[in-house]
Amino acid sequence: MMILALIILTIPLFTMTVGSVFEGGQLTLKWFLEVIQDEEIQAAMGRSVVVAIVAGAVSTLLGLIMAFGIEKYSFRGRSLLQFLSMVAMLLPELVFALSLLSWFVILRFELSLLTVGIAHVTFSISFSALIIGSRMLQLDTALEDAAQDLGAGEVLVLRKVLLPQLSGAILSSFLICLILSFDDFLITFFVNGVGQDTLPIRLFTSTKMGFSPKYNALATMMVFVTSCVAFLLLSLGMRQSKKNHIR
Amino acid sequence: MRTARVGLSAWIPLIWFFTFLVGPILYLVVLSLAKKGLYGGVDWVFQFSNYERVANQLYLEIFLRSFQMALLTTLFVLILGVPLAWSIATLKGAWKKICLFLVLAPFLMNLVVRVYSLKYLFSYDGPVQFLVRVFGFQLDQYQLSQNQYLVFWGMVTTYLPFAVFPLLVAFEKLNYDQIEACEDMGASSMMTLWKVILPQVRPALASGSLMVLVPSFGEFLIPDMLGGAKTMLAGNLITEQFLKNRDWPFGASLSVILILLLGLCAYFIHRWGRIRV
Repeated sequence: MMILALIILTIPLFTMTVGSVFEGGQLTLKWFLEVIQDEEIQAAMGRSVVVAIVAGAVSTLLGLIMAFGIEKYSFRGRSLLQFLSMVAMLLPELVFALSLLSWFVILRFELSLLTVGIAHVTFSISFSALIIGSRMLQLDTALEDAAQDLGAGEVLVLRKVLLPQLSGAILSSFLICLILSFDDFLITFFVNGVGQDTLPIRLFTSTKMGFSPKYNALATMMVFVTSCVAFLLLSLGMRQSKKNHIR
Repeated sequence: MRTARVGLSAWIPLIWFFTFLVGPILYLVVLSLAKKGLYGGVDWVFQFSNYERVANQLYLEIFLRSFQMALLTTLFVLILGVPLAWSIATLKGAWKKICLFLVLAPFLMNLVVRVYSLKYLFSYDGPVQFLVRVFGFQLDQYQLSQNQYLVFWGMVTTYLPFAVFPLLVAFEKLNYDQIEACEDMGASSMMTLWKVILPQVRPALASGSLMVLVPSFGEFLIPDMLGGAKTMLAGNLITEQFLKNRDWPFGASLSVILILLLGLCAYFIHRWGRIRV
């Protein structure tokens, strides 16, 4: 059963990768070259990367603030914040995309990469807060208390005690938000401006026209990038769990 | 718990959520009560006719079909996901890492890429149809490249990791002493499964199913790319109202119904996950 699950999960990806490097029975990298030289793909790639980095950074920052608020303080609106972050995670993507689209339209907010970024941040914050918050709960509070006893102010404790311990979680959160943004199709599809296709949208519209090994190559490259990040995340996680083990 | 200066900054995400999450949803509800304008705009006449239209048999069938699809997807995801999570949890060393990677990588991978790869596998230029031709079978190429089974395959593989991760965490935290004690006392393995293991993984089962059921109900891309637009699901129906028919109020009311239905499902699954046996 487990083998079957892994097979149906990976076989399409695998055959696609193989399909992208063969041409009439011969190994070739020609299609990859074509992808790299395609100017429209380059532009789409650039847009995707910019949005992903900005959205990743902003949502990690907001997620960090939110995790601090939720885990360390009690304030009015705390449970409301928790509820909203759950809603943001569970709301069907489609409904979120459409509500945001009509919201931007009624506010006469011009659809562009900015609106895409805003949308990406909104659905990434909760994931970021979840990752950073769960790490925060595992931390030894004695360190914090000690620093405060020794007269460190709140900001100093934050900067010198908490943030260094959270660096791993912050990095994971950034990577996850980066991927979430880079991968997003549906929401981008609706709130994007005209002629500002990101990479997934580019791929989607081109597959409507039919198949070409070129798109196999493009998809394979995207698979490769994501696999690298997955690997990075996994090794980060393993290191973290080892550390906890030793402690 | 303290209340202080730094804590106040938690207002920033709260304000963000209000502007870009609560606002849009409330607006969607308001919009669902308006009326489609003559040329595709919105007439601000408040009435309930959009909701009355949903009661049409055609739309009800679409919702029912989507719900069936989502339930079946969830069921299959659990059938495949529980053994998978169990195996990964009990594996050791390099194999564990490899299996984890094989689940994590597709999970992080672009949905379009994944669906595209599946589409390619069965497309006219793809390997499966190539083999079919080599062996001389006569098959309609469109029937093979666009059908309900492919949609189903796409859905199950897309959402499988969503269920595997919570289950994996639960299996790894499983209290083996209890299982051993139970077996020592002479319980059958079915009994152990039912009375000891199930209660421990129940919350994970619940959150796993929720993570599958909710997005698969509103899925739009997978049936669009793999179903050849033959299978109309709730997600496609709503999308068409917005993009093709330009009937935003009706699309909004369909979305509101979708949220309500899913909220109901979420509530029941959540409650089931919390029950103590």
